[in-house]
Amino acid sequence: MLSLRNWEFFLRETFINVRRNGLMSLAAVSTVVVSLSILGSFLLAVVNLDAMASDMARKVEITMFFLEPVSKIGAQRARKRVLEIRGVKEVQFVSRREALNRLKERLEGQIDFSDIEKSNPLPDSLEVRVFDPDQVGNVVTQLKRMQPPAGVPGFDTPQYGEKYAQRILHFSRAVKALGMFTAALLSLSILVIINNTIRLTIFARRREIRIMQLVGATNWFIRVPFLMEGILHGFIGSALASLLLLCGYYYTVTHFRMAFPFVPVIPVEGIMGHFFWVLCFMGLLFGYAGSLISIRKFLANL
Amino acid sequence: MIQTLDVSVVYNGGPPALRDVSLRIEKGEFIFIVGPTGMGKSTFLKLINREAVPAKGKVIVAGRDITKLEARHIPELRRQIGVVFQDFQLLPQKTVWENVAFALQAIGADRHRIYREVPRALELVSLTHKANSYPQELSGGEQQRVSIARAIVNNPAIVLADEPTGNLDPETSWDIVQLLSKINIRGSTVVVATHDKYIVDGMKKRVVAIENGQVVRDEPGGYHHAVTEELGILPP
Repeated sequence: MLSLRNWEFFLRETFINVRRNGLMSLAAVSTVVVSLSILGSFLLAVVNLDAMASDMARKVEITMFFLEPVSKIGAQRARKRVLEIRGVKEVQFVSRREALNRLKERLEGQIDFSDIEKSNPLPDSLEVRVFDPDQVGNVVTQLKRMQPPAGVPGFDTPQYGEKYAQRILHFSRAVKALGMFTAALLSLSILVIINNTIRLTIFARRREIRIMQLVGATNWFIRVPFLMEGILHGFIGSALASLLLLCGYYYTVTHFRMAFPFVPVIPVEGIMGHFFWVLCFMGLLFGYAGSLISIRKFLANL
Repeated sequence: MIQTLDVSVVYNGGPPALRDVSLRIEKGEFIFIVGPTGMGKSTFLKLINREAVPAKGKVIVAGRDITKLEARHIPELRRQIGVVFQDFQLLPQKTVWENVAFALQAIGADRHRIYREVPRALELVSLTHKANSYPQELSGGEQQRVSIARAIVNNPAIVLADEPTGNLDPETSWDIVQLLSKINIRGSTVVVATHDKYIVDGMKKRVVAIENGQVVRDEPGGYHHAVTEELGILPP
């Protein structure tokens, strides 16, 4: 059983070794920074593509604009009628005021709304969602044929984008599958690179390991400082990679949003906490696994 | 007590490095293993601390057949054995004190013990004043004394020295072997593999000669030259 004084020795040895083998430590940390920056950039791109695809897929809906302003009761009656159509999942009434609020939220700070608010040009509408995107076409045909209830204004031609929606759904699935496959492949190659770097640091200290073995240190006792070193390299490397990526992402998102305000991208705040810790954990895990594989192999070959 | 019974060692399917070696070394004994380079001296030492495993035969250390020792029990055996190398094997980035302390730290000794034993070991090898020096700042003889301090800091029952004077001048070699003798008088069994005629002849201890992996001579108070002359290695 390892006691507190052992851990004290491990910690001291780890920090002394990192300091004394500065170049090797630098090589290991740089490897982690570069590898995880590549993996992290890729993951950020995948997460955003997935978010875009999901956002677009959510828009697989039919919007029916009322030709004239409608009362709440009238809107409820129209909603009930639409719900009776086969394949319709849900219908939501969106008033002109609500539509304007949504637009304001989306374009916050980009357009001055004071004039538009005075005479809201947006129509009342019903948003119709279907159970299956494939049924959109049928539902629209029935909606076109539908007569509005008595006393309720009629509808403009239903707005929808079926083919567009299908493509988005396929794209979303492909992004997820390709993302997982590539992330796994990248992770494996990172593990191999980190493993090789740590092997070099172990080889540089083979005399130390031999002496430890000859004085009667257990294999576990020999391993711990190397594992801690691997974890430390992994953590420092991944923390640096996270910071680099977050700065880069903040810069990119800010410029991207200015150029394409209608394309939804995940804001930095939305990923910061999660992304930082996930990447640090990955670095830590890579460092640990890389050193464990290397030191086990080295000790087995002695 | 160390005993080998009909031990043969073979490396990677080559000719035997040791062949049917049976030897008994009593507790507290000082013994020289002599013979030309590559004839099995180092292999014999490696058998004792389980660095080498025999193809056949038994190796008994402190009443236990260590050929059957499970890997997880090897560290226990090695804690009873100190090893001294020809090339000292010191860690250049550690000071003399740290090099000696490392042997205790690596087996999880507590700080109290380390601060008690390291100065004692350094005093025994007369290097207290060099505690804060680095190995590269020391002479060859001093480096070997650090290596000895590291080997004995754990108060081992057995000290194995593989060509401990191989890199040293005759005068320093004599000092080193005297130091090993001092350690032997304190109670450790000392086994020295060497081809240094000068020290073997001067010490008049038990001498075991190994040639082509076999014990060819075992003499108490023996000499080195007897075997070298027999083998024709040195001019008569």
